[in-house]
Amino acid sequence: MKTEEFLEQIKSYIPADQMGSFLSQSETLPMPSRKLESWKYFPTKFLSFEKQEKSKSFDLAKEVSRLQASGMEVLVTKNGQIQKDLSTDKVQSTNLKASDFSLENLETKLDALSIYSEGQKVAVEMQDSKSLQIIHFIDSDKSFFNFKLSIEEATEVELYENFVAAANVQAHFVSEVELAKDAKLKYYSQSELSSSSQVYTHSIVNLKEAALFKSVVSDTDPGKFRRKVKVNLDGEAAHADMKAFYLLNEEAIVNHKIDVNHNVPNATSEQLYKGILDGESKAIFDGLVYVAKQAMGTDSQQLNKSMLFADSAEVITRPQLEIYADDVACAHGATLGGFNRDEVFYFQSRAIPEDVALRMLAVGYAEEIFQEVENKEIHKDFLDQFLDRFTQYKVDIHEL
Amino acid sequence: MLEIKDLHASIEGKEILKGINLSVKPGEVHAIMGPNGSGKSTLSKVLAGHPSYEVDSGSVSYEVNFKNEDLLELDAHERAQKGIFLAFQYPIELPGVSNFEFLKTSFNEICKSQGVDELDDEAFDKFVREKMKIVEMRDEFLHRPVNQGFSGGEKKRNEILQMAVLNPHLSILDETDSGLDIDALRVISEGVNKLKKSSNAIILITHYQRLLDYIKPDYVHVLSGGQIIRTGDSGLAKELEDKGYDWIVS
Repeated sequence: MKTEEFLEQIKSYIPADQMGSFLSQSETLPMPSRKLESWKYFPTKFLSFEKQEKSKSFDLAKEVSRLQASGMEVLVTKNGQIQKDLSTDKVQSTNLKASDFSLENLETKLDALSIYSEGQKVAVEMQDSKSLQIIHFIDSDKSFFNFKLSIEEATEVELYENFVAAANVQAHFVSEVELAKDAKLKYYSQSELSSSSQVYTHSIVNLKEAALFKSVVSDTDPGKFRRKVKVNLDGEAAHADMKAFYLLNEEAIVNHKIDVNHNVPNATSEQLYKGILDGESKAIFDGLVYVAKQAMGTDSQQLNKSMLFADSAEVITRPQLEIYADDVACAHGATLGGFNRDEVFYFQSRAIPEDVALRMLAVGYAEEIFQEVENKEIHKDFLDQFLDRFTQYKVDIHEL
Repeated sequence: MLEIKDLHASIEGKEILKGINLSVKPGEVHAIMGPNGSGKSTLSKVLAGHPSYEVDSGSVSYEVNFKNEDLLELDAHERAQKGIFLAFQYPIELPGVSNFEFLKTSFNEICKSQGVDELDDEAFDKFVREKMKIVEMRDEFLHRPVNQGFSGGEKKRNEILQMAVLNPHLSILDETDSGLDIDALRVISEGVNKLKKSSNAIILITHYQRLLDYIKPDYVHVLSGGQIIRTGDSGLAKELEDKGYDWIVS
């Protein structure tokens, strides 16, 4: 999409009093396009801000009750607007201005659109609770939501974020999380996307000394999801542990764009991204670990593993390291394959037929990620969704 | 119980077994020894039904519950359901698959094939914990992924635990003693001895006499160049330990 076309289409998305700021802030930002290194493999042809026919809208109360994890406070949004009547009282939000967000972190005009749009911009405050679920419902193209969350010193917070999108919609989310010294965030995210829906998230997570960011993400539906996460390890002994699983079929696309910046000495990070692809789906793992010159003692592991069930599916994997410090331990890698004949034989030699073996292996493959979810109910959500979607997959020993 | 006649088998076009003849009766323990590359592990995998191995000729007759089966006609999982068990030389790691789930599924597949009621989680948990005592295995191993992060000795214990759970008619232990320290060798050997019955048989594949100090074989066979070139009693193993294979393999 050309810039002029984009600006024309989004006119009605931005309040009149914000248009000037949007234009000046976004002027130097690029359009999301294949010319950009970070968008090179994600097809932007789907991006469109012209009105499209919607297939359904949600029975929100019913959906919230289906998705709500017990014991968690809930914040519900629909097309970027908080639904107070469906959210719990303990979650408070304060409205923010676009300028309250880190404008220097905006990647493209799409990010700028999100924070200057009519979509809500809030600081989420959790009162006494330490466990929050945010459920986003999307059934409109005009769907933008932006939030900031600060986690205080030595506090542990659990955040579960669900994205539920109807067909032919697109949504964009910008979030910023600050973790103070010794703070911990356990972040879990799951999506339910209709095919032809698109969701774009752009998260920035800043960690101070000895802070922990643990993230487990699962995408198993046929929509298109670009998850960009930028993690800044700004305090010594901070640790980022990021895991994700994708199960993709039809024309699904998942793009994990991960930037982990080791800005100080002795911080550690770990990334394990795994998935299974069938049909004409596509997974893009684009991860960059940056180690600054002063970040001695950095320890960073980065691995992407995928299994292809069909020759028409595609994996693009770019585990990258950019290291300027001398004394570091960094590893990165990627694997691509199918099920191993010897693994299957091990099951068979224990009386387990091949089809059962292959399914157990697939579940085990996913479970290596899901087992990182410490909340049992959320773990069950992840596993149940995987098992439900996986019944449609024809499992075979697909030797490459 | 098992009658192997003139068995020839190959992998990727290369003939490994060149006419094996072996007869195993219930209650017997057979040791198969031989130099590296003689075909010992191939024999174990062919008997267990590994699909990468091609049987070129010969027959393997297997008698179970008074019924004769052509073993070579059965898929690997059907052989296991009918009581053939292979303890792997290099047990496979299965990340994400818990030992409990693996053992329970395996046990229940056998129950299903024999028309017996399957065990639910609770009943199986009780059952498997009893079996774990046989190989002195700690409870924590039950819910860890199969063999992942296990030491060499723990993996071999896990193999014998599987044997205890599945209660096979014919067990083939492929170099179960390799990589074990003295204590682990004792525990595992004692475990195997506890599982020995007059109605089942064991084929031990080993390089060393030391395993046979713990598990007494009725017969010792020397496999070389894909054929059994000599059969004797436990004295043969001692002789091999003293003299090596050169005097017998020429």
